[in-house]
Amino acid sequence: MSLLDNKKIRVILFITLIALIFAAGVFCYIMYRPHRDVQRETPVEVTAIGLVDLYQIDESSANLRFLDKAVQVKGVVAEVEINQAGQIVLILAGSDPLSGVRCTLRENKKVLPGAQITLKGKCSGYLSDVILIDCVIVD
Amino acid sequence: MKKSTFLSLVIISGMITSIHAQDIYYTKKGQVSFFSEAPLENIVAHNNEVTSFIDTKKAEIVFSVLIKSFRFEKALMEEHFNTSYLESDKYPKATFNGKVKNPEVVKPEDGAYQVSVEGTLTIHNVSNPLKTTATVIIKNGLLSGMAMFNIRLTDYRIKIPSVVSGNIAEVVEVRVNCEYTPYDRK
Repeated sequence: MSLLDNKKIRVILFITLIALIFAAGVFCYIMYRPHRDVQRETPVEVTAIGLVDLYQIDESSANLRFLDKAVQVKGVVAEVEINQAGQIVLILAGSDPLSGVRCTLRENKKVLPGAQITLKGKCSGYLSDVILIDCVIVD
Repeated sequence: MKKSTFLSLVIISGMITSIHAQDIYYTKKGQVSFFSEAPLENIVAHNNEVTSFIDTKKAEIVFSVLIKSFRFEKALMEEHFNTSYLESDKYPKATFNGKVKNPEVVKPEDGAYQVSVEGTLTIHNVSNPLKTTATVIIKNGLLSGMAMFNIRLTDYRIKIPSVVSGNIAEVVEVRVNCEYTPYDRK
């Protein structure tokens, strides 16, 4: 007589199997869950000029407000560049000609300098410009 | 009185632009990547928003990198990297300040030149000396630089919990690749 004929053992085996599948599912979900999508988050809204000013006045308090947050920024495109990875970078003008908001686009779109634009992306901090990555054009 | 102030302003600004035009090169879209090869898992992350300046006259070079600009393949890695290991809310930047020790080997004509660079690398608010070789490439008047070096995580007080130590290497390879433009417009 095989062990499988015992009802108790069959039930235990079945439960163990379900538990294993569940554990594997949780593991895969944690390991391979998709990237955070800032586009689905409620953004902090600000103008490009305001954002640069706030960073220039006090970087650490600006970081508390914007760093790692979804930020929606409105401004005028001063320059359009292509980075070394082939992504389009829009530079929105700040009040200081030396500093603006550099926005790396998630998907390349043709934008002309001078355009008034609203973008949403993740703020990764301030170098000589405020940096937004993973940006999508809202308007 | 007014005239002389104006004149000196013109002279000073003229001096500044001429200094900038000739000796300083910069990029705000340089690349830094790192690679961790461990028994269980290989991890790669790229950053395309690196700012760097080179002063060719003084043979000085600086890099600034935002930790939150590193993109990983897996969301979990990116999260752990930022929150647990690099604590990027507290320490959002990494920097390198250095000098090219043998700038004389770089010639103005097209070519690839091996230089040695020495300086201070600051990550996670911990500074360590760094020595590495780098390649300077001059092509059609454009300047680019590449370097590859290893860093030991413990040197920067980056703690990896033992649970995941099989997934993360103790020594991580860093690659730098920057294409520079003359700093003249701004």
